[in-house]
Amino acid sequence: MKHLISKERATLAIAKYWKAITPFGLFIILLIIGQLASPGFLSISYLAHLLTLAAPLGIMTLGQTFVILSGKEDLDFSCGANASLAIVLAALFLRHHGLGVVAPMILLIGASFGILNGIGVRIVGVPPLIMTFGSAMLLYGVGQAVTRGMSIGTSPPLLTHIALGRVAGLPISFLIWMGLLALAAFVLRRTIYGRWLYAAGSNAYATRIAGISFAQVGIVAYAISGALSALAGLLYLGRFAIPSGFKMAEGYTLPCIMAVILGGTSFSGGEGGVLGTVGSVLFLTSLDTFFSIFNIAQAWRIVLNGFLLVLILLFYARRAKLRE
Amino acid sequence: MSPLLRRNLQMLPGLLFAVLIAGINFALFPRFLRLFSSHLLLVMPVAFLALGETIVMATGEVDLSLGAALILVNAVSVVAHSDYGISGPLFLIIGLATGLTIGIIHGLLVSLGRVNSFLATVGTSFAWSGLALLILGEPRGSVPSWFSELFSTGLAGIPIGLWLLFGSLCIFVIFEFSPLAVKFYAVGSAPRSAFAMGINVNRIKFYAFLLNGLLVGLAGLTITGIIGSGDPRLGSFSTLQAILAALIGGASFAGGTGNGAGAVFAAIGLQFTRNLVAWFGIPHYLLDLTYGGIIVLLIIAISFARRMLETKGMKG
Amino acid sequence: MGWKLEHWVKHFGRTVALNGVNLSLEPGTIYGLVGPNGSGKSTLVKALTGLVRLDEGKLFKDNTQVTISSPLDAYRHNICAAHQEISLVPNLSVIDNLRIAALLKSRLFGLQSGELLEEMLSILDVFSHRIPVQSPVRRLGRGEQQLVEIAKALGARPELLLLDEPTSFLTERDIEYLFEKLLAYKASSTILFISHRLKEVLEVCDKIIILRDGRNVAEFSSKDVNIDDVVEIMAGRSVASFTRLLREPSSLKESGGGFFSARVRSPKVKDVCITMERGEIIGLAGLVGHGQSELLRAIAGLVPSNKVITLQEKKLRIKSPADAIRNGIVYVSGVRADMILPERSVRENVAIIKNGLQMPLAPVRERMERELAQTMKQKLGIVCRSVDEPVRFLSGGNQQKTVIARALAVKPKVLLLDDVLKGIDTVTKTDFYSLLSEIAKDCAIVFFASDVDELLPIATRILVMYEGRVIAKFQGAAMTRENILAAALHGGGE
Repeated sequence: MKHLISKERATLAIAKYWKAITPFGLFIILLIIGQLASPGFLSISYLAHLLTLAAPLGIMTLGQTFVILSGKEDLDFSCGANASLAIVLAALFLRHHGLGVVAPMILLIGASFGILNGIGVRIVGVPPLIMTFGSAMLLYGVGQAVTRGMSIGTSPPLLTHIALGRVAGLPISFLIWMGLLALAAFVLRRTIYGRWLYAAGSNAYATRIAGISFAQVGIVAYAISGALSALAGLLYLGRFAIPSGFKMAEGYTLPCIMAVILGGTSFSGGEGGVLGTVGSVLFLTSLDTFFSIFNIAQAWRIVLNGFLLVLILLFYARRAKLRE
Repeated sequence: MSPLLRRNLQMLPGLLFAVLIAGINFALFPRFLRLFSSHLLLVMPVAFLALGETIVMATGEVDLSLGAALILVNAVSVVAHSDYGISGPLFLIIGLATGLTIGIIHGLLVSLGRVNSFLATVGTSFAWSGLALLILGEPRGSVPSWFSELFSTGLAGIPIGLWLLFGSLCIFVIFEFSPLAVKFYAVGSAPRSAFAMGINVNRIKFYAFLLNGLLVGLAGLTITGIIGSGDPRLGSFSTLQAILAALIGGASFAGGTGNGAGAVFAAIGLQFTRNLVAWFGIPHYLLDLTYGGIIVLLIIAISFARRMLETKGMKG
Repeated sequence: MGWKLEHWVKHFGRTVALNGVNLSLEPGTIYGLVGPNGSGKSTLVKALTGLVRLDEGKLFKDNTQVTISSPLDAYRHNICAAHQEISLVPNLSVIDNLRIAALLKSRLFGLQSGELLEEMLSILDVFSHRIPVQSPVRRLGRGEQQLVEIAKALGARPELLLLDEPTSFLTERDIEYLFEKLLAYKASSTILFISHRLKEVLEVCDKIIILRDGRNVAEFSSKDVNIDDVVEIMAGRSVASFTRLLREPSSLKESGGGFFSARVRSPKVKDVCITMERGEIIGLAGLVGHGQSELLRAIAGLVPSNKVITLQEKKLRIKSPADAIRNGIVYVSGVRADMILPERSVRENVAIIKNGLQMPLAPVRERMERELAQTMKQKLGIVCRSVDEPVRFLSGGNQQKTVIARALAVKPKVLLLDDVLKGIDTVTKTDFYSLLSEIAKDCAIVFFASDVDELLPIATRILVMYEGRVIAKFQGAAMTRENILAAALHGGGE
C-alpha cells in the first residue's frame, strides 16, 4: 500500500518539476548550439562570465515570481525602473557613505515603492499592469529629477568586487543569487506565508473566506519584488561602475517577466515557483550574449525579443479551450 | 436601464471632457479657434487608435502594441513611396494592408493561439518597432504630393481633420448598430455563456483585432500625412493615450463595455490637455514625463472611481 | 426514429465522467435522467450541446449518424438545452440575450428570427412573473434567470429538448406551468429532464433512466417505481431512507440561547436574532435571495453589518473573516468556485483555514498537513488518487467534501453552512447528515438550504426567512415540508 502511495506522489512530483527543468534544458541546448557555431565558445571563463551577468536578473526574477504567484493578473512592470533608481541613488549616496549604510537604505527605498505598488493594486484596485507601469514612470521621474540628466557618482571598489569578483572560482554575485534563491524557495514551500501566497493566487475570494488577508499577502509580495529589484540595481552599479542616465536597467523588465513564465510559473498565479527561474534566466542571458557575440543589429535584437516572448506565451500562457 | 442605453450614455464623459478642455483652450488662446481644425488633425491618429482599442477591449482583450504598430505603418508606407516609387491609391492600400496584417497576426494569436493578449501584444510591439527600424533605418522619406496636399489644404474645401473626425464617428455608428456589436459585448462580459449560446467566441475576437488593425492602418496613414515623412521614434505615448481614451469612453479591462465615440472625444480632450501642459512652461525634458504621469494618474483615478461605483452597486 | 447514443465515453483528466453510455430515446416521450453526483448527467447534456467533446461514441438521429462539435452544430440538429449553469450573458438585457439566441437558432432551424423571438417571449409571459425584458440579466433573481433560460430553449421547439436541473430555483406555480408546457410539447419532440428532485421526475416523466458511474444502469417506466427504489439503484446499495429524521428534536430543551446568539442588521438582513444551544442545528429556509446567505456571511464577517454576537457568554467583535475564524466561527459556501483553490493539492485545500491561523513566518508542518488530509479523506469519503492531487481534478461532489473538511479541520464552535448540499447526490447527502449530527454534538450549526428537503432530516429547528426577516419558526411535529413552504411563499405564518 505504501509503495503505491509513493508512486503516485512520484508521478505528481515529476509533473510539478518538469516545468522547472525544461528551461534549463533550453539553456543547455543553446550552449551546444553556441559551441557548434563557434568552437571554443564554451569555456570556463564564458560560463563564469555568464553567471556574473545573469545574477542581477536572476535576483529580480525571484521577486517577480512572488508577485506573479500572488494573483490572477499580478505582475511587476516597475522592476527595471526600481533597479534604475537604485543605481542612481546608490551612486549618489556612496560618494559620502559606506556600503554598509547605503545598501540597506536602497533596499528599503525599493521595498517602499513595492509597497506603493501593492497598495495601488490591492487597496485602490488599479489593474497591476497599469499601476506598476505608472510607478515605473514615477521611479524614472524621481531618477531624472535627482540627476537632472547628469551622471553622478560611481561604484566604490567594494561594490565592484561584489558584483564582479569571485570566491573559490564562483562569482560572488552568483552566490548571492543562489543564496536568495534558496531563501525564496524555502519561504514559498516551507513557510505559512508561502501557503498564503499560493492560496491567494489560486482563489482570492476563498483565501479571504479562510481568514487570510488577501491584500496584505499581495502587498508583501510587491514589497519583496521592489527590494530585490533594488538589490539587482546595486549589482548593476557594481558592474557598470558609472550610472549613465536614469533608465539604465529599463531593458531588464521584460526579460524578468519572460523568465518567470518560462520558469514554469503560471501567469494567472497560484501555481509555479522559483526553481525553474534558474534555467530560464540563464537561457535568456546567454541568448543575449549570443546577440553580442554574433554581432546582431539592435533592430534585429528587438524583433527577436518580441518573437521570443510570443513564443514563450504560445507554450506557457494559453487560455483553456472553451470546449472541453 | 437597458444596456444599450447605458452604453450610449458612456459617450458623455468623453464628450464633456473634450468640450471642457476645448473651452479652456479657447479661453486661454484666442487663436485656438482658427487653428482648431489643425489641432483636431493632430488628434486623429490617437483617436483612431482609441476607437480600435475600445472595440478590442469590448471583447475582453487588449492591444498594447498600438504605438509600435503606428510606427510600422508609417515606415512601410513611407518606404513604399520613397524607395519603391509607389504613388496613387496603392499608397493608401499599402498602409491599410499593413495595419490589417498586424490585426490578422494579433487575431490569430489570440483566437487560434489562445494567448493572453496583453503580454502577446507587448511582445509584438517589439516586433513592430524592430521591423520599423529595419525598414526605415532613420528618420527620412517622403509621401506622394497629392497626399500631402490633402493634409495641407483639405478635401473639397473642408480640412482633412474634420473629414477624419466625421469618418471615425461613421465607423463607430456602423459598428455599434450592427448585429455584430452585441456579440462583441457578450464575448467580453461572459465568454462561457456566449459560447454556450452558440457565439463563436474565437471568431469574434479575431474580427475585433481585424477591425482594430484597419483602424491602426488609418491612424498610421494619418500620422504619415501629418509629418510628411517617416520617423521610427514616434508614438511613445500613443498606446497609453489610446487606452486612457478608451477607459474614459467606458471601456474596461474586464471587457463587455465601452463606447467608441466617447473614446474619440476623450482622445480629443487628452490632446488638447497636452497643449495646456506645454503652456505651463515645464522644461522640455520633463514635458513627456509630466504628461505621461498625468495620464497614468488619470487611469488610476478612473480605476478607483469604477471600483467605488462597483462596490456601491453590489452592497445590499 | 428518435435518438440513439452509442457507447459514449468521456474522461476529464483522470476522472471518468461517461463510461460507455448507451441510450435509445424515442420521440413523444419525456425521459427523466437521474443519478448521483459524478454519474455523468451534466456531461451528457454538455456533449449533446457541443460544449464538451467526447473521447468515444456515436450519435444517431433518426438512424443517421451525426456529429456535434460546437453549439451551432447542436442547433443544426435541432437540439436545445436549458443548462444548469445558465448560458445567459449577465451584462446584456434579457431581450438582447434572447435576440442573439433567436438569431443564431433561426438560421439553423429554418425559422424567422423575429417569430422565434416572439415565441420565446410569449413562453416567458406564461410563467408567473412579469420579467422586465429590458433589464440586464444580472439584475434578475436566480429563479427569473432560470425562466429566461427555459424560455430560450423551449421557444425553438427543438426535436431534442434538454433540461438540466430546471426547477431548482422555481416556485411551485412555475414548476406546474413548466410541466404543462412539457406535456404539450411532448408530441413533437424528445425531452430529457435531469433533476435531483426525484418526486418531480416521477411526476412529469414517462420513463426514468438511472445513471451511475458514467453508465446507464437501469430504465423504468415511471409508474413502475417509487423513490426509494430509485435511490437504492442510484446508490448501488441499500440506503437508509433520507426522509427519516436523524435526530429526535424533542430531546432538546427550548432554546435558552446559552451557547451562541447573533443579532444582525445589514442592508439585506432587516433584523434577525438567532439563539442556540450547543448541539443544535438550526435550518434556515425560505426562497433564495431573502437574506439567508447574507445573514450567514454577516455573522462570518464577510460583509459589513451591525451585529451583536455572543459565543459562550462572551461578546465578540467580528470585523473580518479572520476575527470570526479566530473565535471558532467558520463559514462554508456552497458555491464551489468561491471556495476551492483549484491548482492546489487536496492537502493544502484542507489545511488552508488552519494555516490561516498560524503566523506567516512559521514553518509548514507537512507531515501534520498530510495526516490531517488523510483523516478527513477517510471521514468524509473523499475520492482522490492522493492528497497531493490538485483539487481541480476531483469531481464536484468531492471538491465540496474537501471544502467542508477544511471547516472541520479547525474544530469550529459555530459552523455556518450556506447551501452546501446543492448539487450533491442523495447518497453523499446521507453521509453528510451522519457526519453533521456527529459534529453537532460539540458545536452549533446554522444551515441554509434552498431545498427544504435537505433541512428536514437534520434540523432541530427551522427558521423561515422572508425579505430579510424571520417570519416563522418551526420545531417538533410542526416542522413539515408543507408548513415551511407555505410560510416561505406567503411571507407569513400559516
